[in-house]
Amino acid sequence: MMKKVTFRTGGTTVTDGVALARYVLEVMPDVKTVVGLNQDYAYGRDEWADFKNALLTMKPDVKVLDELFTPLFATDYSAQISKILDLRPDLVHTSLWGPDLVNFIKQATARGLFQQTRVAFARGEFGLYEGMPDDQIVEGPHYHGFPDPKAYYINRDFVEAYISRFGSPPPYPAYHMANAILGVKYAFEVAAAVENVEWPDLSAVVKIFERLAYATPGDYIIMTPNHNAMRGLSWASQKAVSSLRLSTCTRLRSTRRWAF
Amino acid sequence: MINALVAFYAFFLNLLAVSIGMAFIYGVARVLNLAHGAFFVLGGYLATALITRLGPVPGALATAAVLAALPPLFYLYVRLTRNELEQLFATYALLLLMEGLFKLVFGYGNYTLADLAAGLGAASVGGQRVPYAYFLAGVAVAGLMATFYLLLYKTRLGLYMRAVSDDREMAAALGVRSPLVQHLSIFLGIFATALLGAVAATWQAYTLGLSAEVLIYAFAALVIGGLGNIWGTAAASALVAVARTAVVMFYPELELLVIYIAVIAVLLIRPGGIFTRYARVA
Repeated sequence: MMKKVTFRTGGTTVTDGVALARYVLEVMPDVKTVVGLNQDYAYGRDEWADFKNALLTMKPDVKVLDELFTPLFATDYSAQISKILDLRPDLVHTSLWGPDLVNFIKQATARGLFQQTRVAFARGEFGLYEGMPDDQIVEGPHYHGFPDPKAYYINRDFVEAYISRFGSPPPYPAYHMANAILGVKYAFEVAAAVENVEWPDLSAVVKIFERLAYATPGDYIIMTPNHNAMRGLSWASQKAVSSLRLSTCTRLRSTRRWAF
Repeated sequence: MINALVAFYAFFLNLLAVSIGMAFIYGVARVLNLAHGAFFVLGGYLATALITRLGPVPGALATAAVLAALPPLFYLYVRLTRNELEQLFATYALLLLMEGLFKLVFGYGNYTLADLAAGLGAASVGGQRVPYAYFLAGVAVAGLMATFYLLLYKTRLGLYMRAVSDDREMAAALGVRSPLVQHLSIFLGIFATALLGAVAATWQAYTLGLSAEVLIYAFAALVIGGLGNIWGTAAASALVAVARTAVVMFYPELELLVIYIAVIAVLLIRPGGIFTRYARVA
């Protein structure tokens, strides 16, 4: 019964790793050595495995120098930063998020890590507000600047409403919530229209939701029959805009993957 | 090599900062303070909030003033309990209360002074970039340890503290006012913890949920070093820092486990702690 009414509008995290690997090869086609720095739990391990496998499949001669795993919510990354400074890879891949991301960015900036190597952040969008250094590869499930609010009215309304209410641009959890709420709303509305009733039966809603495709502020979501979503993400190379406290991304892209 | 040394130094400072205050509180007053991490984090939050608002020197002074005024509240709260079990409940409840207060007063953001500290610049040691903030933090912690040394070994109060830490009833029988000494050491422990939390804001960010993480490291260093022995705690911090840096350099898969392996090994081989000379009496 639970499976019947459970829908996941967030998509799976396989797209993080694969998309990042493709973008890395696009901006750094001569990358030779990689080091992974991830948290030691399911997401960190899965994300690293996805990225590593995708990268090695597309470019088998890349050498993985080391795979570092840190405890979740560890506050001190000095040992890992020292190891990376010693190894001197071309690229560091990290799926650190939240407070870990902030700690890592601050400590790595202090030690001069970003002058020596380039870092690909799989969940780095939060770091943009916390002093992300220039020229790093940042990926996130959503970014308030993509699709460009100047061109896409749904995102423009969403961002403006969010800023007027909370004072800062919406982070990716806000977009995830919007996706979920809009999905439920459209499923019920479409089911009501199809069945021609005021409030549709639950089984009708489920049948509609399984094949729903709808536009949201950050994305265009296509729900699939096994109750997962097919959606995109955004990634780019970071470039600081000196007049704003916030950084913007150049060459924003999105991709769509069959991820179940 | 220099990188490994910097890593060891940074983590050693980190562990020392979280565990020194606890050595005082548990060693002399026998209060098992589960809210220890919350006070450490409180110091960091306060320092960040006040220094970013008032500027470095007035902010630092304001932080120190607030932190000096705070311990009596904790002491009053703990004195309401009658035995160790109630102490556990009371301090755990205090931890949850303080986390709630942090959410109310400071919100969900990340509070850190790392940007300010980065403005101090960096030295180039052996070709590697070591921020001046690390040296400054080291000087601050060393200063605090020196103050503790002077307090414990050169003053009458320190003598009483050491006596109460060894055997409270015997000290009382010899004329030491044990309850007062214990209260004072609780004050000192809380103040030191919060102050070190403020110093630690220069390299780490504070956010909700950090209190529990910090508590685990503090307990680990305390248990390995021997309960209530501040030099033991310092040596244990150095030991754990060496172990963790070596593990990351040579066998990184083990990093999640290394501190727990150290604690388990000490508990199995020498449960009193590595740096104690004799078993505790009371």
